[in-house]
Amino acid sequence: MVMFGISFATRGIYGGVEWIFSWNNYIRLADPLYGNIYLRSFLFAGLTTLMCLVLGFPLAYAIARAPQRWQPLLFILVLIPFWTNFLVRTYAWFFILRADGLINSMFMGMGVISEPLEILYTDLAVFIGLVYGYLPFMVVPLVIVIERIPRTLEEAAKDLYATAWSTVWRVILPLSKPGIIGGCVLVFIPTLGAFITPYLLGGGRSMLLGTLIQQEFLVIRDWPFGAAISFVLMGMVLLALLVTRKHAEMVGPS
Amino acid sequence: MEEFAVGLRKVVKFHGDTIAVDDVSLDMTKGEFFSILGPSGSGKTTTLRLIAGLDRPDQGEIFIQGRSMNHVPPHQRPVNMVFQNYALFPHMTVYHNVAFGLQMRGHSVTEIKSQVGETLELVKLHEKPHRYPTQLSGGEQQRVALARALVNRPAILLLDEPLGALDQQLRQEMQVELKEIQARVQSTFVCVTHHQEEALMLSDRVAVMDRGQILQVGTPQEIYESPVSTFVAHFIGLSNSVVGRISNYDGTMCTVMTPYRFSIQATTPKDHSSAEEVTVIVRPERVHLSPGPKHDGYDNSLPALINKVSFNGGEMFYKLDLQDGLVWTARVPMALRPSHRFQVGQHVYVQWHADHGLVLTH
Repeated sequence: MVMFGISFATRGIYGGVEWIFSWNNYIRLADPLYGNIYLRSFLFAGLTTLMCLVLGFPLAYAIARAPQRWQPLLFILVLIPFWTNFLVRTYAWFFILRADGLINSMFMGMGVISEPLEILYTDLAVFIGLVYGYLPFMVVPLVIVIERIPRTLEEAAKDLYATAWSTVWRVILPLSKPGIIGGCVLVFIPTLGAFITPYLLGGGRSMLLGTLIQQEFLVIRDWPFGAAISFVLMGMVLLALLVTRKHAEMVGPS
Repeated sequence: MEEFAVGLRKVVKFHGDTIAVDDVSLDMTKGEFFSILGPSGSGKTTTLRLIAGLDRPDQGEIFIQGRSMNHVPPHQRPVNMVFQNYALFPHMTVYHNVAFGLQMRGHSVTEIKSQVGETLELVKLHEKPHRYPTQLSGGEQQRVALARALVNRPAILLLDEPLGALDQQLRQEMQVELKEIQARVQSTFVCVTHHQEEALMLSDRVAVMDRGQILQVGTPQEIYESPVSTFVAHFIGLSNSVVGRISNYDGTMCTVMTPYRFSIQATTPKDHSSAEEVTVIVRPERVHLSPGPKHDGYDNSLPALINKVSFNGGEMFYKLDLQDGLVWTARVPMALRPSHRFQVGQHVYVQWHADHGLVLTH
C-alpha cells in the first residue's frame, strides 16, 4: 500500500520521496524506451518458460515413470541446486561461460572454434541462467501431475495402436495440463521480475524489468518511478494469471 | 496351429523372483468365449497381458492365428483389451475414446464416424457420444471400454475383470449383454475373472488357474461336475467336503472311512489303492434332507442338526452340523413341497447318491 502511494509521489532532489501527487511516473512509462524493456522482459520470461517446459517435460516424465525406489534420488538431484545459494549458483555459470571457461576451452580444445565465443554478458547468458535457475519450478509440478496419470492409460493407448509419440501427444500432454499451467506460472512470474541473473550474467548490458526496478530504487534512488514500474508489472502478472485461470477451467469437466 | 485363435506353448513369466506364469500351455478356439478363472495373484492377468503384448514371456511362445507373437509389439497384434477399471481417457468424450484406435490407424473421418456410431449403437450408448467418462455411470463406462476395443474389430478381445467394478444386478445384466455382443461380433473373447459364477455363465470353456499354473481346462459343466482337485472343486461353487481313507474298492464303488463316526459310499472311475487318502466332495444341491433315517434309495444317510436357515428367493440354504465341527450346506429349491422345509434346531438326515460324491486324491 505504501508502495502504491509512493508510485504517485515525486522524487526529491536527493532521492527522497516528496508527497506531491502526480500521474507523472505512469506517464513516463509510456515512453517507448520503457515499453521496449517491458517487451524484452516478457519475451525473456516467455522464452525461458518455453525452454523450461521443453526441457522439463521429458525430465519430469522420466522421473515420474522411473522405478519407485529411484524416484526419491532423482527428485533430490533435481532439487540439489536449491541447497546452494542462488548467487553461488549464478556465479558458477561464470566459470562455464566466460572466455576461458569450460565451454570455450572445451570447444577450442576440440578445434571447433578458434576464437573464444562471447557468451558471458550477453542475452544468451541471461537466458541460460534463467532456464537453469527456474527449471525445478517447472519439473516439480509436472512430476506430481504425471505421476497421477495411471499407467494403464498409456497401455490402453498402446493397445489402440498409438505410437510412443502419439501417446505423449494425445494422452500424457493433455492430462498434464494442470501441471504445465502451474509450472509455467511458477517460472514465468519470477523470471519476469528476475534481477540477479540478468544483473550478473548480463553484466548490466541486458536491461530487463527486474534490473530496471532495482536500478530505480537503489542506484538512481527514484523510488516513486520504481514503484510505478513494479505496479504496472504486478498488474500485468495478475492479468496473465487471470487468463491462465480461465484457460485452466476450460480443461474438461473435473 | 491354424484352427486356434490363441495358443500358448510352455509360457513362463517371472515378476522379479516370483514366478507369475508357470509353464502354461493353452489353446483358445476361434470364436469361443474363453475364461481364465483364478484367485487374485494366480497369474491370470499376467497371462492376459502376455497375449496382449503388454508383457513379454521369459520362456515359451505365444501364437495368435498361427503366427508367433514373440517379436510382435502390442499395436501390431490383432488383439484389443478391455482394461480392469476401463482405463478410459478422461479428457476425451465417449466419441473420441471410441474413435482413438481408428484415428491412430489413420482411418478417414467419415469412416471413423460411421464405425464409431455403429459400435456405440451395439453397446447402447449412441445417445451419449459427447459425455465425458466421469459423467457416466459404472455400467456405461464399462460399455465405452468395450466399444473402444470392439470398434477396431479385433480377432481376439481380451477382457480383464470386465464386470468386476459393477454391482450385482448390473453385473448380471452385463453378463447377458456381453454374451449377445460376442454372438454378434463373432470374435474370440478371452476373459480373466476371479468371479466363478461369471466365468460359468459366460464361457464356452474355462481354465482354472492358481499360483501361475493351469489346473484344469474344460466346459463349465465339466469343471463343475468333475473337478480334478479339491482346489478346483472349492473354487468353483459351494462344496461340502470330508477327508477319509479308501477302505474298500470294487472297481466302481468305494467305501471311504472318515475320522468321524461314519463311512461314505461313493462311485469313482479312477483306480484307488486301499488306504489311499482322499477327499469326498458333495455339491450342496445334490444333498437331500429327510426328517427321518429312511433311505429312499440313497446310498448315504447321516444325521445332522440344522444350524442356520437362509433364503435367497429361489432356494433355501441350510447350514448343517454333522459331527465335531464338520459343517455342510444343503441347497433346496423352493419348488419342493413344504414338507421339505426345516427349522433351526431340527434333527434331519443328510442323504445323497453314491455317484454324487466326488472322490478326489489331491
